[in-house]
Amino acid sequence: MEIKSSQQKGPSSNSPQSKAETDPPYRVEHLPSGLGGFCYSPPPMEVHVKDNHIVRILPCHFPEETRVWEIKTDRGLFTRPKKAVPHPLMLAYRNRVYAPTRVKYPMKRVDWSPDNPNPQNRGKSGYVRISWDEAIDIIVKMIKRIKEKYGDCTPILVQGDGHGQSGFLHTMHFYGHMLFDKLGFGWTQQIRNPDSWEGYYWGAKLVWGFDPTLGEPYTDGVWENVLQHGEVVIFSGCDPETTAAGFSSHATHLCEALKKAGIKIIAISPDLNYSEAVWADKWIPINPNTDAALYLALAYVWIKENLYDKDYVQRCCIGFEGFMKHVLGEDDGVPKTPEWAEKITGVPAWEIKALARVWASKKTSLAVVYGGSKIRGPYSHIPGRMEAYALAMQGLGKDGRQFLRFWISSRLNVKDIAPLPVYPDVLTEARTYIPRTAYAFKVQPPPAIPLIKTLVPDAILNPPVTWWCSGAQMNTMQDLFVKYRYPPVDGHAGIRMIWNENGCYTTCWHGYQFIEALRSPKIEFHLVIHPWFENDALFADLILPGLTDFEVDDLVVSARSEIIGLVYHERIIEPIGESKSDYEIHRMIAERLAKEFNKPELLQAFPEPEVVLKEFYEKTLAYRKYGISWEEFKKSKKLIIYSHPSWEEWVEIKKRYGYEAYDCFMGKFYKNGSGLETPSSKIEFQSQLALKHAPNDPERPPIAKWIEHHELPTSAKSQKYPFLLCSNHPRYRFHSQGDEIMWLREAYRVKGEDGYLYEAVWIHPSDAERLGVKTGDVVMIYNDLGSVLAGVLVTEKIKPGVISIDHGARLDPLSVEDRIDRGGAIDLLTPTPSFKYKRGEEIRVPEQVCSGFLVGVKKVDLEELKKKYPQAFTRKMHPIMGPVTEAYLTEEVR
Amino acid sequence: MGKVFVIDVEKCIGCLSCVVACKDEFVTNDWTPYSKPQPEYGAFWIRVDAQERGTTPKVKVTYTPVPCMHCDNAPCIKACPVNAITKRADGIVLIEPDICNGCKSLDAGPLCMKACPYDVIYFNDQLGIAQKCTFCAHLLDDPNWRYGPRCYDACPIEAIIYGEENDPKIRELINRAKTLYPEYNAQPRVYYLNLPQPFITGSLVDPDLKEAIANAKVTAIDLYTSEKLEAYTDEFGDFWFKNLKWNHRYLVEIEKEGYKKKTLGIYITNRDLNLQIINLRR
Repeated sequence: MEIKSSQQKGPSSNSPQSKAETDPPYRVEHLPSGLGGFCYSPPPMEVHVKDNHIVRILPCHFPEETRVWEIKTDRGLFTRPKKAVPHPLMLAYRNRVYAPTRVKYPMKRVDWSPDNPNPQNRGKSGYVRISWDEAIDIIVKMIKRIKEKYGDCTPILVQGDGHGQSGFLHTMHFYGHMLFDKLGFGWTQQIRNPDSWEGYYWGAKLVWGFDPTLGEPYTDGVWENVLQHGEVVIFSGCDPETTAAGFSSHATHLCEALKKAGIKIIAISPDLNYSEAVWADKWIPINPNTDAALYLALAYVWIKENLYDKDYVQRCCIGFEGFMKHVLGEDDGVPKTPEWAEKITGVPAWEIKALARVWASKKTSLAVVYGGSKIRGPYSHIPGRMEAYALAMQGLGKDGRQFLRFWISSRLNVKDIAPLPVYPDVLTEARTYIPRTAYAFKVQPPPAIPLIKTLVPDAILNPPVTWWCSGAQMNTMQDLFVKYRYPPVDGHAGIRMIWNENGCYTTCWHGYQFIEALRSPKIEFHLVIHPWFENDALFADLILPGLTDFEVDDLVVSARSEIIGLVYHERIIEPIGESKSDYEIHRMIAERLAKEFNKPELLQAFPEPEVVLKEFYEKTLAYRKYGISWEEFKKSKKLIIYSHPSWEEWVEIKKRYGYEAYDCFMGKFYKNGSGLETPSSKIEFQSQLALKHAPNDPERPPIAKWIEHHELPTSAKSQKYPFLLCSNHPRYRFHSQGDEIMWLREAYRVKGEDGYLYEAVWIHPSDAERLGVKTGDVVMIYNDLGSVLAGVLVTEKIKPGVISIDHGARLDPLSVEDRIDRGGAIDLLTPTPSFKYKRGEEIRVPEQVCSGFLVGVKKVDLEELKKKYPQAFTRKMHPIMGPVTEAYLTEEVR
Repeated sequence: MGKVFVIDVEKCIGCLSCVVACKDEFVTNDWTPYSKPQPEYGAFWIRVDAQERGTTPKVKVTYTPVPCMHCDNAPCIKACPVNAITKRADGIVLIEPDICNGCKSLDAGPLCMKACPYDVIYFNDQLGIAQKCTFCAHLLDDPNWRYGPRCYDACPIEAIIYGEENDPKIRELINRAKTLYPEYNAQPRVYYLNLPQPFITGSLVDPDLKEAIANAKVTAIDLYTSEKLEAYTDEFGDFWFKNLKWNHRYLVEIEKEGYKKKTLGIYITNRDLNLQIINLRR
């Protein structure tokens, strides 16, 4: 609601001079707002700047003439705000820029030298400031040394694949690949696994294909189908308010649309997450990562009560009979009854039966964003496939029966047309493919040697490792059965140097195992390039100061949601300290290497930033459509936000692609009964690929089966570690990014008795009573891999027997040897996939685990810890931020 | 005529965008004579209170954004010994930073903080002054400014709106709204829609059949007003009585064909009540 401002001038009767109605006394720029990285941003933020000072940050308000989408249904009209949907990670960016944890200049670990790297002191000894010249010298020397010692550069592991700031050129962090590619002596490429879609990638793909989407159905036109027809939407661990925020912006208006359409929202998750607590009509608490048992029991009821879409199963699927046998227990003697599932899931049998009947009788869709315990836990391929089976039994694609995705990426999850009304030329041409991002998604041809991210610690500590599937996000399902090995051949030196541009392996997964690997004598040099002194940087031998989007001139390519656009911005402030952008840093290194190795071609990989920006711009629709020259576009800083088609236009567009007004991709499949990327082009209860390549794999057989594994509440291990851990995408961070946002830390963290702000762990009142803890107490969460501390938040929003702590909190180790962390970085405790296999066995599913595993919880005595680890408690601390960069600037070797 | 906020707590998702936007506007920015910089942390000129309601698994969270209420009968104005707190003609209450002395002669801290029933005034240690929400008056007074107060602009779902109280659209909202703690008679200019009213909920189950009991009639009789409320259980056996009256006594009974009629008891709505799983036998 726009209300005109008051005519009154000044704060009181003695009002100050009113400001003249002229241009604002500050410069206005549009900056990338998200933390997803890979060159693309959600809709930008609007930054006001004056004299090297950030005055304020606003959500970008779209130009007056912009039209945003409308979906007209029998249930009313749905639309979105005509501005970037604000979220706190965007609005608090100033905190990131000026964080007391910034790295301001190159820093070297005091007791590291090429000949005497003292690997055992990584994470313990302090850092000294060095000059850029010295830093580049060290890097060039180490590259030469590796090459001379081992024959080539393949012992250098490049970790440059994760999320990050969302500037187009400067702050993207995977330039190491380009550098080593042009250098020509090879490298080892860490391949980013499908970290938030694990179960779909490792499992569901075998059922329904959808290779380019990482294993989830195409979302073409899916929203209007659900808004027009849907009766129930199941949030399956889905938290759109939280998970989408940092990547594609808040999905609030879409949640609101579901409610406005009269759709009942049923939440199935261990925790009543932030979205569910506000939007859900019904919460069914379930033990983390036991959803496969629930799906089996639903199938049991559907079969017994004749409540599934038999025609669909016949027409559109293959291999159902084998699955039915498993459900009925004809193969293993265990009928998967609701009573059977109750013991595993903790969901009462009567509730499972009720859910089965509701799902069958009402037009029910299943909604996801990313994550949820079911899709990122041990053996996530089982719930991934079971979910696909359940959806298939209820006629996936029929009106109102959809797989609904809250991540409304314009491009990645569609076959023909966008999930929300977007013009086709805007969808396909507004941004062009950027080859340098390929390193994050694809396996590169030699001389890069692939190593899946989840097995990096194993590859360093226990080589050789062999596994199936590169893990590359944009591969095809055939790759699931291709074998890889590291090191590639016997006699290869393995990983000797790490080029770490992500800076957050320790907070991703398998943290303590990665730290152990980093402290191995095999690692001669660990380089970290990062703007903040945090996480992996604590174990670096050399840290180079990266910077934020506020400190560079760059493009903002808005393409992470249905809002597509483009704008150029100048730097807001001068770089902090001696920091430089990732691009500039690699360019500097390239220049030196070009001389050293006499390879001028190295410089071609890193042209002047201006050249790269101009070249990209001139390939965009903006240039062709509006004919604005690069120079003019740059000078005017014109904000281009492409309008959406009107509903009527959208219906016409859909017709051109063979869709009726409320049709969607899966609706087409429902009608045709074929057209998927699976070998049979149908939904495969029995995977034809698995049948061909691994018919006897007990873990991932052709038809998914229930496995009683070691991280279930029914396992023997649960005697020792009685709590199941739920770990979600964080509400007030984006993975590990944003933990330096002071204004959020002070608002959500739990203050311990010692005044330290601990990461919150949710504990049910009944468990809190048993553990003798209350809100504000500090507990230790532990398993065989180590422990982390957290601040208790007693809440009814968690299932008894389950605790929930978000991932990505910043490390603050009390002791690296004792494996105890005060920061609450829960992914230090997650096990690598090799745990599932015998030493030397092929790792058939090299999945990542970061939720749904067993832990113990106990109250800690802070005084005792203080006595035991005095140094960690006396580090230089900011009252809100915890340890600051200065805390690590010391000649001390601890 | 004057400015008001209308905040719909049913819409608020607790994202803290308003909290952060407020800090973004006031930390390190000097808007004298409206306000001097807010400390880098510790002050929440708008805060969001989270209220967890019910018990597992019948839980709802209600978030309530709380800025200064800009009261028409503001206790802080009366309490200020140096007349630093003024009310503008448009209703906005401001602590004038050049006049406020933080009550430094008193050991007890600023009197306005003690007088405020809403706990929305913060002491700035570095500057020695009391500070609070200014309704972004420095922005509203700027003819070039188009986006309203920062908390309003930052809300992803228009849970916070603002306007002139005599605007018919705003007036309509105010008519449906309530204020926080009206008993203090401070006459706040911040209105709330959908402030939570208590609920009674439960689930009916046949323990012998292990089935939820759908379509059972549940009645709740308000023993103060004799009002009789009816609800039917859904497919999950769940029933909900929402928007009940605080601190009333409700007699809850269940009827379902084939089952014995059951009186559950009398419940006092001094909180939200989850009666948990109620077993009903044939």
